[in-house]
Amino acid sequence: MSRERVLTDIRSRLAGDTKARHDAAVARIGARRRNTVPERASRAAEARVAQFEEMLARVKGTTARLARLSDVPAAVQQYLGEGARVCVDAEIDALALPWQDTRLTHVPWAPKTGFDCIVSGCVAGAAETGTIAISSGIDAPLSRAFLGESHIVVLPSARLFGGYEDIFDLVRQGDLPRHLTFVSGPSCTGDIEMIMEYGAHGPRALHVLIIDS
Amino acid sequence: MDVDSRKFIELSATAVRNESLKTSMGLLGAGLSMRRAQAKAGLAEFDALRDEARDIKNDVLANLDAYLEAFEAQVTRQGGVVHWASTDEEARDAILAICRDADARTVTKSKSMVTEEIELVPHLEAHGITAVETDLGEYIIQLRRERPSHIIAPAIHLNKDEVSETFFEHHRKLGYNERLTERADLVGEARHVLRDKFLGADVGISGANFLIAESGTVVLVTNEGNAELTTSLPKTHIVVTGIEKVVPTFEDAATFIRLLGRSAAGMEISQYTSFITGPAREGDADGPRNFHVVLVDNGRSRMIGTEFQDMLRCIRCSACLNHCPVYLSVGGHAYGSVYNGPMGAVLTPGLSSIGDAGHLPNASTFCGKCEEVCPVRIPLPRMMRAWRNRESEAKLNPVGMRWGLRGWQWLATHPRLYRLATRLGIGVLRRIARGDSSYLSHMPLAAGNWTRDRDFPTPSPTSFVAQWEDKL
Repeated sequence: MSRERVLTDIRSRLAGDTKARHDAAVARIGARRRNTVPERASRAAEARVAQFEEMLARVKGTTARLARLSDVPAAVQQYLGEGARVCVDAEIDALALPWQDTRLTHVPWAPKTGFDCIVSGCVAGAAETGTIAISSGIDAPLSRAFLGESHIVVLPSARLFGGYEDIFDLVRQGDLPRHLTFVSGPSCTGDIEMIMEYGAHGPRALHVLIIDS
Repeated sequence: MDVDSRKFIELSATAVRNESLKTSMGLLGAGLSMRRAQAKAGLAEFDALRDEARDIKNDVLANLDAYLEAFEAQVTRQGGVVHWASTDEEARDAILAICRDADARTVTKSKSMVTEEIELVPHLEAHGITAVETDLGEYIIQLRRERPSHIIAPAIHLNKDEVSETFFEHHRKLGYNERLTERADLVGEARHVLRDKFLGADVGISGANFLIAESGTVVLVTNEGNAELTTSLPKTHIVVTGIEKVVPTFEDAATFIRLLGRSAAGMEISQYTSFITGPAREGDADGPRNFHVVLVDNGRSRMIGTEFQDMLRCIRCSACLNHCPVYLSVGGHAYGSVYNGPMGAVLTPGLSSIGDAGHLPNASTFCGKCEEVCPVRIPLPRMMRAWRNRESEAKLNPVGMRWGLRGWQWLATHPRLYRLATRLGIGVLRRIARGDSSYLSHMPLAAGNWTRDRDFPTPSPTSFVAQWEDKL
């Protein structure tokens, strides 16, 4: 059997006994030790929003700061323009925001085409590289975040962490989602002559609405 | 693995005269090495992360069987299936069987060097399954039926006009009749054509940048978002990867994520980093029902415990290619292997044989830049030297070269004769130069090979040793 053959080939070349290696690996995994975390991933909460905005801007993502969640629909309309077809994810939909005050067209989650923009929540953010984490789940098709022309993410500032390790600790509290994606800027490619072009397969633009309260 | 490196000398001689390739390599070398230097300068902890990354991989390799079993147990717990492949053929068979179980007619693929190594796409095509590469660079070379020439920029050897021509030729039958000249339009057309492929695929095949043993998680890094669509739309997802990709925990993956984008292209992090754990959960709105991981050995375990073990730390960032004077002169195709540049010069003979790939470890100036920029501190020059030794011991290099080296060894271990020979050499070369130039454009006999493509500095009147003795 291939499994036994591969493991036998590996074992025949390793020092020590199988049991000792097993124990070493189990102990190493169980410790979940943090390695070097850069200073920039460990800044105080007050400094993080500005850091997040700066890092995301470097990779062509944009941000806007809002005082409260109810400002989201107006901010979406301001960004996209009237009449844009938006698809709002279940997390944001459940907040019962005043969408009726805008002239945006709502498209349900079901189709995979026919919308301009996805408006979604997120798991958390990491200021170190202007990164947001989104995940799959019930009512949360991860693929949808990649099928719009643009992606607007709602990030409460309380969920903006310093580094990636903080996001891992958060998702490990429950069952891991099938698919967790760190998003750091819009989709891009440098495959033709090393020049960056945006909108390769995913969204051409990424806009993060940071909610202060 | 299909290795055709015997023609390296011939192919590199043609490549250095290819003006268009020279332009591409110029863009690559200048662009990526500058961006990496900036990213390194911007992160005080960069070198500390490199040391840690090296240590993590060393620990993984020393306990590789245990980490792989831990990873497998977690994938199984999540409802996925792990397949083991000792050879490329076993890997191809396993993947084909999964595709057949899924009644697959169309497969989308995100970028994976291991699938190139095992020549997966031709195998699937030969069995009636259409496999579409979705990474833009891979898509371009798939249309042209070429091999990747670079780990992260597979179509770097082509310019915009060549891409335009390729799209015009292949997209015409899909109703795209315009010859595009703008880069943005070319990217847009590929986006449009491939969107339907994503939505219609039966199976998605990806590689893996890292495997996390703690949770059976597969980590994928892209800028385009193609891996996310490949792995979340079809009903079946197959991960094809090498046994050396496992890391213990999420924290360890973080260390590598901080190094990978910076080393590869000076990016703080790639646009998308996905952590995929098993198939879709009960009630999930999307995601594959079937999740398979194919762990490929194909010669890797043979390198464990040898002087080439350190090569298994490689994370395929391409920094060594981007800084290599040889790679940047001849491009990737001359190597005749999917792995090229300094990492390919060490890995290719490891996975294949030194008989097949002997030219590759010889294609180095030993400038040391590859080791200097490697995020996991792989001693590439030392290992190239080790391959040269093995080649020489097996008498695989040319007789003239072996005798030449033996003669040199004899001379170098007889200092008096060596100095005499040096004095004679200086005399001859200065006579040819006639004192009117600091560089020689012609040299006699075999030395003429050197001056065919470059000049040789005229030696100073006395040797270093003679000058040293004068000063004492």
